[in-house]
Amino acid sequence: MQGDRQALNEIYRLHADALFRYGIRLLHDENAVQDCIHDLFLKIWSNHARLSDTDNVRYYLISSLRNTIINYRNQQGKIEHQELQERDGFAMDFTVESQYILKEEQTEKAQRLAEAMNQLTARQKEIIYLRYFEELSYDQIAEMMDLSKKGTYKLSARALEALREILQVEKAVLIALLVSLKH
Amino acid sequence: MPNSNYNNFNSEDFLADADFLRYVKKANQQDVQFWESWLKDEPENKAAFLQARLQLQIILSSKDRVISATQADALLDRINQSIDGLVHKRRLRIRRMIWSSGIAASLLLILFGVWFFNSTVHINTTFGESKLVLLPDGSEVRMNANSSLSYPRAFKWTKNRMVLLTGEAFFKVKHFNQNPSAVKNGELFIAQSNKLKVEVLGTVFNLKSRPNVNEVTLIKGKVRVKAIGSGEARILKPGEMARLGTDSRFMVNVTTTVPQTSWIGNKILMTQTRVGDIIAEFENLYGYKVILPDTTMADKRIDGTISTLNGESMLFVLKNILNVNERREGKTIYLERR
Repeated sequence: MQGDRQALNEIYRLHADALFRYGIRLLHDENAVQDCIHDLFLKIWSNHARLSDTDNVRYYLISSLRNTIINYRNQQGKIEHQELQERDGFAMDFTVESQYILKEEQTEKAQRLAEAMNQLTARQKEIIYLRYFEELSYDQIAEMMDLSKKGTYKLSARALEALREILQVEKAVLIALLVSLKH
Repeated sequence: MPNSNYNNFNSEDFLADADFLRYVKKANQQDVQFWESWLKDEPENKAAFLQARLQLQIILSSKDRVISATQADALLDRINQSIDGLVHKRRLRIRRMIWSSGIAASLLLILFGVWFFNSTVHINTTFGESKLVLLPDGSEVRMNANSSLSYPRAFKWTKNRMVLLTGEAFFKVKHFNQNPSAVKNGELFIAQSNKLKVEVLGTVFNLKSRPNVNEVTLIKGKVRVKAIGSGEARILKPGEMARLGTDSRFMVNVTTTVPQTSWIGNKILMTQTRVGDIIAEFENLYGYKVILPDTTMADKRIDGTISTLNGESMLFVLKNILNVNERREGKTIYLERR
């Protein structure tokens, strides 16, 4: 029992940052996110879940937190449906004013690309986040976001139209980001 | 280390490559050097590389909101406190479960005890049936037909071993007493009918409690016989028989004891025995009511042996001895002179 507790504390210290970063994008409320993380760890403790396989711990925690947050929101009565809605879904804003982007690249083209990407749906942004920030595999993302349902990951017509107008050739890249989930 | 196929990569391939991802994210010296030298050769897919890099840079431009170290620590404390609460609750629940199951077991034990010490064992024999009963103390009771015996279920724990009898039974009582002048609890054995009370220590006797006759015959040992109606008490010696008269007083006779116990061998031994008594015994054993043609016949005396094993054959023998015919109306048998 004592060893289990130590292991749980260790897992928390390793993953708390990532869980909060992800959770706050979904829930936009610091206290609520902390409550959800609290509930998640309590559930793990009660279920005697063994989290020794380090490869899957991050994935297990993030997908469990996602479920916890969805349940939390359902209880709060903020949404009727089980799935997250667009209006209060995953928050992700892109900008060219970033440490990652070199001065010479902050061109008009980059500006327009960022704008186009900002028009992606919350769901698409979440996929991108999980892939490039959390570096989960396509299989894991498809599993936790239930992407087996056809078309859920396709670009919205509006985003596609924007890309076509603004980027013309470069749209292929952006589509590739999401299409790669198709396997 | 980055592999050598990068020249064939399109933007999509770059974005799926872990090394490329690490380069854009972390920009550590080794990776930067590698990609700069790769770019220097002006590969054909340089545009795809730049496109992918910009794409990823824009993706990574999305700012994270982080949790502060103090907040993270506070949250961990809260989680641990809640787990302590869970552990405490679980312990309480287990303790409560142990308690409640203990209480339930005690209640069951009490109920069992109440039942055990208050209930009575009843044993009956029907007409023509005989039974050997072994009492919990090791005493034996041979029950004659149409009799009932009852005793407390906690027979061995009662102050006196006490059995109630209606009908007839032959007792072989286990002897526990060491010092007859100081009889301890459980050593005294009491056999009681509605008219008689027999107190014994350890002995062999026959107790008969029928509508027509109440008597105790002692075969072995010593008994104290008490008439419940008058309170008269007699001490019997082996071979003595105490019969209760109609005035609730005892008549004590010395007897051979054989006729009184011959029923155990399914026989009636008759030595100048009244017909009325034999007919009454037939009624006792087989549950018929027998009407004689006149009262003089009842006072006739006969000798011999009759088997009681079978009601019909017993009646057949009686009819021949008395020279009568029978007429039945239900459980009533009318005997009529031939």
